[in-house]
Amino acid sequence: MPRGETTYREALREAMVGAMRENHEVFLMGEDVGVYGGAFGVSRGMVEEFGEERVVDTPISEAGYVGLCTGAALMGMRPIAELQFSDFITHCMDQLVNQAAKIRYMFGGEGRVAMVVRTPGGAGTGAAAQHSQSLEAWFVHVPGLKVVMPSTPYDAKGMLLSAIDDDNTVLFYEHKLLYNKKGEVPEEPYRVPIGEARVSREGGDVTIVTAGLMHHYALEAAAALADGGVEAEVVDLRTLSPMDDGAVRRSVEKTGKLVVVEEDVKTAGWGAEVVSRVVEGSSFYALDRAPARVAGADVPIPYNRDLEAHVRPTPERVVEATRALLDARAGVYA
Amino acid sequence: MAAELKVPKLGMDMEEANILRWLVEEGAEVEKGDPVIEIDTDKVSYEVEANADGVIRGLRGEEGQTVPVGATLAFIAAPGEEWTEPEPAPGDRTATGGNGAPPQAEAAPPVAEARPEAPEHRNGGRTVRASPAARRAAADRGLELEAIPGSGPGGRVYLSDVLESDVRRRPPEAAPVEADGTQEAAGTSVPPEPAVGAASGRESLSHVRRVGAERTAKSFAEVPHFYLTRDLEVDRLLELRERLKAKMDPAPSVTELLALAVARTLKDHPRLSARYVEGGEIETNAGVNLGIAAATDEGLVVPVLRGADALPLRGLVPVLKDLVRRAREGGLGPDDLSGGTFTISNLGMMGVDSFDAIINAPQAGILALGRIRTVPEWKDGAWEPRRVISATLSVDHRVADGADGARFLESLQEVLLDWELLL
Repeated sequence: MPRGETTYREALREAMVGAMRENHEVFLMGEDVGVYGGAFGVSRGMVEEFGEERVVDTPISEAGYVGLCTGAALMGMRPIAELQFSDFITHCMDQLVNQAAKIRYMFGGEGRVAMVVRTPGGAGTGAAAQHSQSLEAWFVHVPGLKVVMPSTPYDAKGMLLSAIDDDNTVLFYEHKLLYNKKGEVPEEPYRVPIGEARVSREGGDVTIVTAGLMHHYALEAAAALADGGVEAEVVDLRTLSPMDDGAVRRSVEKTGKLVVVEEDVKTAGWGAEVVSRVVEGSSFYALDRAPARVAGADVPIPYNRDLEAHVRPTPERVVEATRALLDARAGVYA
Repeated sequence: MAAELKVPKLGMDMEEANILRWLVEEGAEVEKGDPVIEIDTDKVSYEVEANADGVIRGLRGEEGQTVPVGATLAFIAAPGEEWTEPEPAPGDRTATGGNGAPPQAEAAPPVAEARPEAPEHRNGGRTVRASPAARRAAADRGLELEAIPGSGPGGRVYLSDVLESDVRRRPPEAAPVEADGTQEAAGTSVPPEPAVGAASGRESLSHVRRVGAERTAKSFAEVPHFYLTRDLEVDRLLELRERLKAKMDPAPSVTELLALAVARTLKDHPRLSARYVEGGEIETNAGVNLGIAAATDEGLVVPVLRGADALPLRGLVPVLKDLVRRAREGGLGPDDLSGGTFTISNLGMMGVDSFDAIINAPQAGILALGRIRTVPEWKDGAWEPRRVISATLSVDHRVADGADGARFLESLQEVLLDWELLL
């Protein structure tokens, strides 16, 4: 049924509310998720419907409640933990990396940690170095964890429901600048599979691979490139781990050119993994230009707005990088 | 540093070549692109071009000799460069071939001298700069990267350069047939060949004819042929040609217009450009690569017009003319002769009314076209003249049935009557 457009924030809430109505094992836990409605208002109104037992406010204690959720999951619950800022995930590293990611494996499948950790990453809000990072690549590096980063309200709802269904721990990356993004979202529940990328724009000249907020920058860049006669194909990975490199390679087989757009810092970012997977094996021979990465600068995010803007990827930078890659003079490496 | 001129690899399966004749002598000055030597493989004869400007030095290999791919033929010293014969490497490895011409060297000792310090030339990379995609495309097409002018910095070869060079080459270079079988086909009436000496005496067949003999015999013996013949009304085609004469240069011939119509029509009849695979499968082809039977002094040659269904008329005409011209001059390359999915053979200009052609296996069909005739047609109570061409479609019955063929001919007739259908 058509209804007005829904925000990314509302789409997430619909997924959680739907799952909690359907399944009593699902609950939400985090700092200020109750009466306050969450640091970014995602859980607004939920405590009124589900009560404090299922929408649980915690002290400032990320390691504690993520550990608590891990334990609850082991006992058969399906917890959703919210971290106010993804930077705070540093507190939970042992719970996530040594416990949640390992238990199912170490106990031969006897235990499972069906937990979702929702958290916003990314810069652009003037929140400075400790509230603006994009650290998702760390978890792409840990077998046993799934990492998703949906870019649209539609995918946000569908993938959150898939994440809640999933018997593994899923890190669910949101973005502060996506919460107000609007889009069509069906009212009824639906699932968007984890591990499948989506070609959101078709084109034959160059492949732009991206995820999360950067997907929107890539689409803007593609529109600008089209004005100059360059048809970019945009691949929204949606899931960073497991990574759908097949979709990327298929596109690169078509275009011969690859640009990766990611907000995390370039060094050892997940974009490097995308490039590696294309360059390894036969898809190497589809490449007609060296791949390019547009990524965050290798610096802490500055508080000063101008400086912050300077270190982040922008649609203009994507256009610039793509044009440089297509330039016939490209390929002179000093 | 002198450039090394080597035996190019002209096809994936090419291992050696015969030296037909040298076109230059030791000490000759050449410019990049000048033909230097003519070589011959079992498929093609080919002129190797100078890969640099300069003076020919250290020329080796005698006419009539067989040399492996990658063997050194000569060096081209830069103008003014002091050149000394590199010493053969001790190990006597054969020429340093692109992909490392292996020890076939022994086969051709003289030519086989290894380049002295060939390290940089050796690791498959040579000194050519090319993108990975360009390398793959060149290898797929059997093209020598060195021969392709690169548009990138320092002459870096991009995919677009390879594709362009491939298109140019297709029309140009030529060689005998791969497809002989193709079509010579015309049943017994092999077209070209002027009458061979009469009576007693033997003549050994040219390579082209020998391959053709084997392929036609095999196809005729193994492929279950059937034939469908009908007259195609061509009044509209001839009018169109008259109109285009004034507008297009070069103007399209009847055969070229028919080729366009056939290629576009085939797209809707994929079975006719499919192939039979032993074991009960057929393999369809995404595009149409149209073979055009051409009579040459050496025998029947069938150059292939790649992607014919996607070519606009303006693109098709010059390419086809060039292909046929090169076929006649013996200038086709291996890629000009392979990959066909369907063939047409037109003997109309030689006065033939109609004929049955032998399928150029593994293709599934061939269309034999006769001359333009004027026939009366009873229409609205009166006889009216109609110009027609007899078309006989030979089909591999394992791939398609009579009804499939009939539908194709009907579609073709519709197009010939109403060219707008191609829009």
